[in-house]
Amino acid sequence: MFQLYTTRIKILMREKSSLFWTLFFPIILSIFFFVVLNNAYSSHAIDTINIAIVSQVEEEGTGYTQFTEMMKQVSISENKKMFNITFTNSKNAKDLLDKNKITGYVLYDNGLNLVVKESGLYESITKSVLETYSKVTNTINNIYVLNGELISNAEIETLYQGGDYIINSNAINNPPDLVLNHYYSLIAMACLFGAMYGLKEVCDIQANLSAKGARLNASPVNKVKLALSSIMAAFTIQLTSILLLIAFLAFVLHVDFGDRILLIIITSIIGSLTGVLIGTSIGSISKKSEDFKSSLISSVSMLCCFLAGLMVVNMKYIIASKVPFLQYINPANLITDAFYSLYFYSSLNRFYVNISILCIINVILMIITFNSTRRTEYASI
Amino acid sequence: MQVFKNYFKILKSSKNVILIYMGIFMLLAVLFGLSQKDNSSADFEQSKYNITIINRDKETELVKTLRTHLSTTCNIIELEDDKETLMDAIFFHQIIYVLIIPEDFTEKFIDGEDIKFEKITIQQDVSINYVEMSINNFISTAKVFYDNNTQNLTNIEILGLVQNSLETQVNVSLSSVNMESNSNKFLETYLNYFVYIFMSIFILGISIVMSSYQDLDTKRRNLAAPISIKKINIQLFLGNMVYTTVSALILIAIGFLIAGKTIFDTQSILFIINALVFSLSALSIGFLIAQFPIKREGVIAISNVVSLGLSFICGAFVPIELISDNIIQIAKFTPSYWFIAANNIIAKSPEITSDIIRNILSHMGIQLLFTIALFTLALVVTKSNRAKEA
Repeated sequence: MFQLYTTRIKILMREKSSLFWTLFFPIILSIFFFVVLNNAYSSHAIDTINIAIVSQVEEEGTGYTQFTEMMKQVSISENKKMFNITFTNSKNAKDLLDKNKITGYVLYDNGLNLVVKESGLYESITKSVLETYSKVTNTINNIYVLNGELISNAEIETLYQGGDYIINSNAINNPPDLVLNHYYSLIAMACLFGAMYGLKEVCDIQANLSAKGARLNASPVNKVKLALSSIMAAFTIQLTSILLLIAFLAFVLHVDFGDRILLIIITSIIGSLTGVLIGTSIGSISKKSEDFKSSLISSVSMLCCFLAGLMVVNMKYIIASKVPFLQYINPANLITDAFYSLYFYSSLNRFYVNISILCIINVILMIITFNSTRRTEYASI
Repeated sequence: MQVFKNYFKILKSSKNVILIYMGIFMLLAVLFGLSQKDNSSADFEQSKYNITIINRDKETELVKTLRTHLSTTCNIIELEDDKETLMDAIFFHQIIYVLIIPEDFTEKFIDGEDIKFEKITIQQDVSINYVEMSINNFISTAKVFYDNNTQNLTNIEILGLVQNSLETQVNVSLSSVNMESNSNKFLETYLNYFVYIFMSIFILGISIVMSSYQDLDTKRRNLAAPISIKKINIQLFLGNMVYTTVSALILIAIGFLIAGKTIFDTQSILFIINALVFSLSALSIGFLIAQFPIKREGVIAISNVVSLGLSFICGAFVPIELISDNIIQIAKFTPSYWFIAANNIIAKSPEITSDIIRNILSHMGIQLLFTIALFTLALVVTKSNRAKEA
């Protein structure tokens, strides 16, 4: 049986181009992810916002001058001002807004009025700045009315900055990270891709699926041994790819997996096995062509990964709230969550839940595979 | 037109494969479009985020006022002060922020001691900043009042003034109420997703047919046939074009059906033309890839890399505003970037002016240039392949 196993590995390794692509495509994708997602969810990526302020005659006591001064001063960072302001009349401002040249315009008249086109990110930011101004002015006025004197400039500065009254709780070691979900579901996708190997192996040993299979069935080799060694060979190759991928993610892209290395390896083992077994089950129960089955597997895998949040993290949470049972049967989600639990939680409860379900799925798939590949008789025509 | 007809015969024999792909990717697109939050109201609505306040201090006036203030900007969810419960809530995104008020916070704060809140939160981003701004505003305003309490007001009076100061009067109104913004948002997202779907379906569909022409024996037989190579290639390309255009139209039709938007207004027509132009670019990429002799697993891998990679860097999944400038510069060398940019412009403009049309046409023009360039490259590869085998 060991010889069967090594032979099958040699056969798999001979197809250099497929090997190359299935090994490197997750790595190439992870580089894309890294490049795009590096700063995607952080708050550094805001640009200067284009707005207009409807200009007015500066009368005493309206605070218009202070307001415009503040708007000109407020900045995102050292060299980046928050707003790019155009002073104009109201008709022109509306025109600029309609042409999408500005995010919104401000009318300083009986309080602050902001006109925008939609409820977007920049519109909300502009509104927040105006609200802060309004709040700070109220505070200064109230204290003046109370005490008869203005508060110090330093205090005004603090009111605008907001101060820093919040620190990270030491209750958790690793802060939740949305970007990590992309990487973990990428690993899940790579695991599910192992189904291709599983499928190929089964097609090679089934008499009704390939000529090679027919020859193998005519030989005296025990079918179960044959199936087992094929699956182990596919699993070995797949596991190697996954471990290489994780090593790449951890050491080159510095993706945080937490500290539990042994459990990470165990997750990889179980995940790879799941992928291979999905391939073998689908391969053995369906009689359609290999092409059809590989297309089916790859498209269903992408669907599973999509529902696990590979492309849009939000999808994962929508599933969790709208169709919660789905997250416990979607293998991509189980693998992703297993990795995430290892990173995020200090206790292992959630991890064990995910791994157990994956093991149950593996057992079911193994039963399906062996049931379909064991002693079958073919009529000779 | 034998080759052309043959194209569809081959396609028909693999129709199950193609239908599965189209079916599943269509499902993906619809789910993706539906998953985006829609702004269905006619008013400007600031999103209210879900947070939890864990109070380890006594139920003081300060804490009560803070809670009231925060409830205007956030949804406050009551959860137990149990680590597992909180971690689970954050893991499942039921809340994005946990604010922990330490013991004796109120006492120490009023005494002027340096005491801070604790937080457990998802990674720092815009929504977190917004929540923290709300908290910090309250506390810094309260601090100023407490520090300047020369009139010796009571606690409740001070907090009353704090609340009063924080009541703002910023009126926000929408300039043009776009009652169709709901369907626009769905369409914009759905159509942006075409970058991923078109690439996947086209690369795979095209390679299914082209691979049967790649077989060496078939190639040699074709070379010996009286029909010229040029004609074969043109007919193959026409076949590809029909396949891609029909798939594109089906996908577009489903999108409009679900969005419930008419196809007869200017915006919709622009959406459709933009999508069809992009389908040509995707076709040329698929055609180029099909020129290389790669096995089925390799093709699936390449199609995933190309489609996912392009989708990510061009802002199909992650909104383009969040992607750094360097990446956008690189993305500009791909047709998908221009497709998505044009889509976003169309979606934001209920009234189409000639300026906007000129802009959109230039985007489409760039996509067509890419198409021609990639197609030319594909022909070059074909020629060099032939030279190798001859």
